[in-house]
Amino acid sequence: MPDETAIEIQSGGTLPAAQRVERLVVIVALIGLIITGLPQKYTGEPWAEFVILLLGGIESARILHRFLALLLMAEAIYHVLTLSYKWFVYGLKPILFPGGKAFGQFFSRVFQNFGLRSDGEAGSGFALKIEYLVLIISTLILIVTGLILWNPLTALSILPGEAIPVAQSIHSNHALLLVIFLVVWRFAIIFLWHPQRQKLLAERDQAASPRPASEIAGRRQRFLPVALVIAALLALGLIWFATAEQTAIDTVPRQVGVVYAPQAMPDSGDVNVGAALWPTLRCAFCHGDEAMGGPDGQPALRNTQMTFDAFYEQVRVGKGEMPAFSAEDLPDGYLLHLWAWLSQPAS
Amino acid sequence: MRNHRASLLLLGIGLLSLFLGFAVSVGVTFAQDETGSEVETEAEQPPEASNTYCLLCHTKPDQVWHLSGGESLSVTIDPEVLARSVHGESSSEGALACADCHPGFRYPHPPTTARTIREFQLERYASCRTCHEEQYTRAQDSVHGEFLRAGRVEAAVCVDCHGGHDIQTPDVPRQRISLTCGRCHGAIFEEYRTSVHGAALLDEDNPDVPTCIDCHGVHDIQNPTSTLFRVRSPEVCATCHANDELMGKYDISTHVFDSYLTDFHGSTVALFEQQAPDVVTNKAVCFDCHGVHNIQAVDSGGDTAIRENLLTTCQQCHPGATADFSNAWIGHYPATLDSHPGLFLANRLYQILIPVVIGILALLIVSEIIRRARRQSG
Repeated sequence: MPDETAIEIQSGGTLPAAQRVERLVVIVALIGLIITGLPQKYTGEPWAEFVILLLGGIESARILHRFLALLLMAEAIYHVLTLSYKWFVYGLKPILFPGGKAFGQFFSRVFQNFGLRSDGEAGSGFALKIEYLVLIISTLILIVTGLILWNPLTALSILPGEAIPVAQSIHSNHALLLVIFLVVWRFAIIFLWHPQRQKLLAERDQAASPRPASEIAGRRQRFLPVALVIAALLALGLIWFATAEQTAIDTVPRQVGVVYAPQAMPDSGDVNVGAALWPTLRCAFCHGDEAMGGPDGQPALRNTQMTFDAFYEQVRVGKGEMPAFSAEDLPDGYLLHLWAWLSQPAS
Repeated sequence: MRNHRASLLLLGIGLLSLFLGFAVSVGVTFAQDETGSEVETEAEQPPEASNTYCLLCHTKPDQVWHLSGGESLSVTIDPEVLARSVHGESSSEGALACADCHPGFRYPHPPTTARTIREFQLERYASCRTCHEEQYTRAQDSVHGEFLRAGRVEAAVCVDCHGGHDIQTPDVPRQRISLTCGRCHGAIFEEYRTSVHGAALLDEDNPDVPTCIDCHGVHDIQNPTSTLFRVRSPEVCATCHANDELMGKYDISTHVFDSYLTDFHGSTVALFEQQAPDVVTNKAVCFDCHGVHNIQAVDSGGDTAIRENLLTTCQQCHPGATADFSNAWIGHYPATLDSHPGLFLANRLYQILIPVVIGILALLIVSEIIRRARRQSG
């Protein structure tokens, strides 16, 4: 399979440029998503707030997070198409897609570590395969939940309301789980397992049956238009999902109300407000704390039978020793509340 | 005829003598010009203006000062009212003298340039500063001070809230606070008095509910329409609603504030408050959902009303929200298997999964290290 080897591994064991770019994009997107995402999960923590500040604030962090998510989704689309190309045109299976053998290797390794099985060469190809599987599953979970959170109104046209908090919980918790897994797993790959990618390629190539060049050319001709259409549709879908919904208005409308509004006459007097008013007014100096009359014969005012108009007139004009009270002293609105209370018999 | 003239002259001299005698007895004389300003007519310096001295005139009924703008300022003082004020004889710190607040107001009074009562108040209120420097300075930095400097003469100064000669302890009874603010903010007061807070204060004399100053501050009241006030407002609510002891009395969970801070809205607002308090954010704060002065108990309308109100509330910021969208809000309480089974199970799954994965990975690494050590030693 010289053609395929050229696709996967160049001389000297390095990846071809397209795959190196792809790998770089995945690394940048994942690290970026972690840096912009985890601080959002831990916003109350000083370290998280520091990172958000470095990112230019929470809104910048969110925009960046979404951009990186789009990058990862675009890369996922490209990855699926290239894998499909290799499989359809050359008949090559993805080397990292784990089968039962990878899990067998993994458990053998674990059993050997604990002395439950005699030491032998269990192989370490499982490390890359399991990591790949976890990445695929996790990316799918994070993309689906992320899109729900990105477009909650659209998502709720087919999902129940509880889907939003559920998606939020899964998205943030699963991201944390993935970070923990990747950090530990990568540590083990680099320092303990040293899996050989070339070995996996060689294993696959041995198992593959080479196709004649004419068949490859024919398959390529059939694949490319279909792939182009699918790629275009997926790209349009991505753009639509990124721009379709404006979940919230940009600016919360300010509360509109009259702030400066000297007490006007309300529709009706409130007995409780009147009761609360009385001890704050100097009326109580003469008419008593309960408006039941003063020590020098000032009249009791409770259960007054005066009409409000008469009451109003007396307060504003005064009578005998009682001084007049202006609207500044006792606003009209308060006067009605006061009269409502005075009209009630004392309890 | 001559005798008649002589009699009139003598009578005039007699009356003039009587008038001068009276004037000398009180030490001063005055006249009022056309504008109502009093002008000195005698060079003799008046005696020290004691309260008794001032009240000689100012207890007379219907004493008014005609201002050039046409308004009449009542200057009659009720000694009883003055005595019972915080600055009166009943004060534990001793009564203030009239001249303490009206320096230079010995008789005859100096002329005033004030054309209206309001101008007169604005001319005079700075005298409070003599004793209340801190409060005065803070008030100058407040929204009232800001508006006053911008020419809004109705903006409150000391006497508008505290009164003049009848100043009482401003927070006794506690209702006095909101009733005072309500004098100028009548429309807001009408909303507040029927709110869950206002009704409890005015109807039940509840000592725990907030009056105006608990949310807005006292002298350094900030502009409540400012961005800064908005992003800080959740902390204002948290003063009471994150207080276990206080909320415990009313069976209200203090989890409301924690849950807000971990929520999308709350976490954003908290970050804005810390990192960019002057930048407008469109994320909701407490009062966007619960109302400002007209806050009602969440369950005041029954379960159906809660859901309906919630949708209406969400739609203020999310115009496309449907009933399902408002169902996405799980409230301020942790999800339970009964209330939100999906969320409860998702949370529980990861509460188990994350430690289990960490444990397995740790075990794996340890076993690898042991294996290496065993191989190296073997």
